[in-house]
Amino acid sequence: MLSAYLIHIAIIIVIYAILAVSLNVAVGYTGLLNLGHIAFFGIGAYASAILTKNDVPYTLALCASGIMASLFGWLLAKITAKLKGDYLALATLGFGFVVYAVMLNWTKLTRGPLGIPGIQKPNIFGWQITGAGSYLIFASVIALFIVLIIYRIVHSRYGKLLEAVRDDAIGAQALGKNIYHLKVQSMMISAFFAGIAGSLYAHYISYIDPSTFFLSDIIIIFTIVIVGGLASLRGSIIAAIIIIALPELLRFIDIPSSMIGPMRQMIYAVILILILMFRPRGIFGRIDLD
Amino acid sequence: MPKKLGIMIAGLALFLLIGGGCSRTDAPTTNTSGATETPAVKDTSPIKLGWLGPLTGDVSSVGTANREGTELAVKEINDAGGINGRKVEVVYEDGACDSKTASNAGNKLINVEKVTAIVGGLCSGETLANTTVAEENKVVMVAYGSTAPSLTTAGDYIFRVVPSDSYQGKYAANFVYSTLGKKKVAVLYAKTDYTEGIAQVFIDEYKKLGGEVVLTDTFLQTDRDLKTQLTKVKNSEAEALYFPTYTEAAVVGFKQMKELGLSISIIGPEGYADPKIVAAEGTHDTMYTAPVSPENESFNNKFMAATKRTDVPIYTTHAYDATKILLETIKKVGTDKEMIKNELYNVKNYQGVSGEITFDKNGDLATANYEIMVIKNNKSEKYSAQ
Amino acid sequence: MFLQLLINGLIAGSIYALISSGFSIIYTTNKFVHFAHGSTATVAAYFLYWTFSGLGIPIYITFPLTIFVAALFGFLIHLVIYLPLKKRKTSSVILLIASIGIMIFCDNLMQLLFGANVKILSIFPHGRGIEFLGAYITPIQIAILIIVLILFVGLWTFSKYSRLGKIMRAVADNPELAKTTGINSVRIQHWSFVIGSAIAGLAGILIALEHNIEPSMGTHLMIQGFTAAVIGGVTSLPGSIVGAYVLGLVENFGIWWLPSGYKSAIAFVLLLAFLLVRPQGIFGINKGARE
Repeated sequence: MLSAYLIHIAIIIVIYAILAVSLNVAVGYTGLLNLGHIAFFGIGAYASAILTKNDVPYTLALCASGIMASLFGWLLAKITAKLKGDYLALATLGFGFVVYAVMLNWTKLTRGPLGIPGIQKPNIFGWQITGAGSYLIFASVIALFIVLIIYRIVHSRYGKLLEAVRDDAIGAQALGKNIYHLKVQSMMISAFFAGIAGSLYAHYISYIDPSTFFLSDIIIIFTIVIVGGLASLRGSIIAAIIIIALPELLRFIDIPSSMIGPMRQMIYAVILILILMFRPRGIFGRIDLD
Repeated sequence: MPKKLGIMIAGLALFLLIGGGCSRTDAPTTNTSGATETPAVKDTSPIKLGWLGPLTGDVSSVGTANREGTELAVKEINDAGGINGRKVEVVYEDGACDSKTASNAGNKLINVEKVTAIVGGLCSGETLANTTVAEENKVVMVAYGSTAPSLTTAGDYIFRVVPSDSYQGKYAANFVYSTLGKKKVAVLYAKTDYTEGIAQVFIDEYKKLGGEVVLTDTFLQTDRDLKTQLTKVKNSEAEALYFPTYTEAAVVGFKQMKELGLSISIIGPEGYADPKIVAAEGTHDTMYTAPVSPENESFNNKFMAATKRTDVPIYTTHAYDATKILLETIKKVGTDKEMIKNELYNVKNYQGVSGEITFDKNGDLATANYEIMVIKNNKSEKYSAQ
Repeated sequence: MFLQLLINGLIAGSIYALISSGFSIIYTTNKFVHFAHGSTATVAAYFLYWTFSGLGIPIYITFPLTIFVAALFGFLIHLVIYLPLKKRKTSSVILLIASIGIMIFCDNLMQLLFGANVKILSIFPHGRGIEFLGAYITPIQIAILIIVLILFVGLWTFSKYSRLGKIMRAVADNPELAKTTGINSVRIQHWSFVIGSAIAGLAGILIALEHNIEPSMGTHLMIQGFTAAVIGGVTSLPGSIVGAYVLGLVENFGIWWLPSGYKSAIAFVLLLAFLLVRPQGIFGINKGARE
C-alpha cells in the first residue's frame, strides 16, 4: 500500500543515489574532491528543460543533458588539473558558484530567477509517462543502468588505473600512465551521470529555478558519499536511502514548520561530523579520504 | 558489523517511513474522488484544506499574518456550524518563498494530507512550483499573493485573487511617467521571480510611453551591500528609481540610500506594504503601487482584535477572501474537486474584503485596480498629487 | 563617482579583512581550511544581540564579552572536533569537510534559536553619511576602516617581531621540526584558534552594526574572506588584509561595467584565477597548492 508520498520520496532517493554514485567516481575512485558537483546536476536539468521546451524529443534531450554536463566536467578538470587537496576542493566550489551565477543572470537562456515552469513528462518513442508511479519505474530503470555501467567501469582495469591516480599518482606516472587524461575522463564520466540525474529531476518536479542548484545542496550529496563510504557504490545507494528518508520522519512529528528546515540541515551536519570522527570510512568504504 | 548496521538503519528508515506514510493515508479523510454527497449517510468528517505560504524566510512577516487571515475565515465558518455540519480543518505548510521548499510542502499537502483544495501560495515561486502536481491531482489552488504573469497560463485548477503583475508594472510606469512627470528613470531590481517579472513589465511599458531607462541594474536577494549599485544610480541622470525587491534587501537598500545621500524619488511594488519596510529608516516619501483595497474598518477591527496586531499586513485580506470563496464554493457544490474548479469560474462580482472578485477564463482577476501609497514618517497613506 | 566607488571598495575590503585576517592566522598555523570561521562571527553577532538587545547589558561589557565568547567558541571547536581528528593524522581535506559540517550546524542552530529574519542592532544611529569631496561615508564605516588599519599594523608587528608570532610562523612552516626545538605545537595551535576567533568576534560586532544580523552572515563573507586570504597569500598575515582590500576594490569597480548580479561571482573568479596562476598569492610562499 504505497502512498503517493512514498513514491515521491522514492524518486528523490533514486535521483540522489545517481548523484552520489557519480560523485563517488570522481571523489572515491579518482581522489578528485569535487565540491561543485551540483553544477553538473543543474546543467543537465537546464539543458533537458530548455531542449524539451523547444520541442526536442525527450530521448535526445536526456542524452544532451549528460553530454552538456560532461563538457563542463571536462572544463572543470582542465581548470583544476594542477591543484590538489583543499585548493582543488575550493576551486571546484568556486566553479559551482560561478555556474549558479550564470544560471541566475543569463536570463535570455535560463529565464533567470523566473525559472522554467511546465516541463513536460517524458515521451519515449511514443510512450508517454504520466503520473509519479510510472516515473518512479522509469527513473529506477535508468538508475539501474547507470549503476551497472559505473560498476563495470570501476571494476575493470580502467577502474584500477583511476584508483592508482587517487593512491599513488607519482607511481602511476612512473609507469607511463597519463594522469591528466585519467582525471579529465573521470570528471567527465562523473559529470555525465550527474547531468542525467538533473534531467530526471527537472522532468519530475516540472519546475526548476537557479535556487534548486545552489551550493548548499552539495553537502547532502557529499554526506551521502562519505557516509556510504568512498569507492563503494553499494554504500552510496544505501546511504542515499538513509540520508534522504530519515529527515522525512521529521515531518510526522509535530514541530513547527519554521524548525523543520534548520533541523534537517543540522541532522545532516551531525551525521557527517560523527561519521568523520568515528568511522571515516563510512559504512562500506574501503579507503580513507587520503 | 557496521556494514550490517548500515543496512539495518536503511531498512529501519524505510520501514518507519512506510509506516508513517501508511498511517497517514489510513486516517479517515474526506471524499475527494468524484463521489457526490449522498444525503442519506451524513458525513461529519472534517473538510480538509491546505494552506501554503512563507512562514519562514524573507517574507515571513507577511506570510504569518496572511495565515491568520485564513484562520479568521475558517473560524467564522466553523463558529457558524461549519459546512453542512462538517468542520473545516486546515493544514498549514511553509513554502518559505522558495520553490524547492514549496514543492515539498505542496506535495505533502496533496499526497499525504490529501487536502481538498489549497489556499496558497503567497510568492509566485511557491505557486509555480506546485502547478503541475496540483493539476495532475485536480487540486484547486487559489493563490492570494502570486502576481507573476506566467501564472495566467499555469492551468485550469490555478486561480488567484490578486492581479497579475502585467497590470501593476504598467500602472507604475504610467504613474512615474505621466503623473510624476519623470522622463528618465533607473531600475534596480532583485533577481527573484517576482521582482524580475515586474521590473521587466515596468521597463517595457515605460519605454513605450516614451521614457528613458537610463540604468538597469540588479542584485541578489541575499546581498546586503547595495552601495555600489546605488552609487551608479546616483551617478546616472535618473530622476526617479524603480526598486522592486523583497523585504530584507529593501531595508538595507533604504538605509544605504540615506547614507549615500541619494535623494531622488523611489517607487516600488506592493511588497513595500510589508510592515518591516514601512518601519525602516530612509523610507520617507517612498511611493508604491498597491491593489485597491476598499476601506474595510469592520474587517480590520475584527482582524486586529482576533490577532492582537496593530495593523493589517498586505495580502491578509486576500488570504481571507481566497479562503472564504473556496469554502463558500464547497458549501455550494460539495467536495468534488472538479466541481469545485468549475464552480469557481462562475465567481462574479464577489464582494470580498480585498475588493470585488471576478475570475476570468484563466482563473485570473478580470479587473485590476491600483492606487499609489506613500510612506510618510514610517506610516503608509494614500498618495495625493499635493 | 570614482571616489564613492573607491570608498565603497575600501569599506567592503575592511569587512572582508576582518574575516580574512582571523582565518589566515588559523590557516597558517593549522594548514587546513576552517570554513566554520564565518560561523564564529555569526555566533558572536547573535551573542551580542542577545546580551544587548535581549538582556539589556551595556555595551562596554558586552563588546569585550562577545569577543571573549568568540575566542572560546573557536577554541572549543578545535579542542572537541579538530584535535581528535588531527590526532588520527587525517588529511586536511577531511578537516575541511568537518569544518563545513560545523558551519552548517552552527548557522542552522542560530536560525533555530533566533529565527531567520534579519535582526537590527540599534546601538548607533544611522543617518546620512558625512560628505567628503562628493562622496559619503558614515561614522561606523570610518570606525571600521580605522580598526582594520590598527589590526593590520598590529598583526604585522605581531607576526614579525613578537615571540609568539615567530613561534607561530615556525609551527606553520614545519610542526615536526618546531616540536624538536621544544615548542608545543598543539598549544600554539590552540592559541591560533583563540586569537583568530577573537578577531572573528570583533568582525561579528562590526558587521552587525554595519549590515545587521542574519544566520548566514558569516558564511557569506567566508567566501570573500577565504579569497582575500588566497590573494594576499595564505601564509602571510598582513597579506590577508591586503588581499581583502584588493578583492573589495575589484568587486566594486568591477560592477561599474558588469551587471551587478555577478558581484558575488567576482570573488570566485578571482579565487580561481589566483589558485591557477599564483596560488601563493601576492605575498606568500608556495606551499604545496599544486602537484
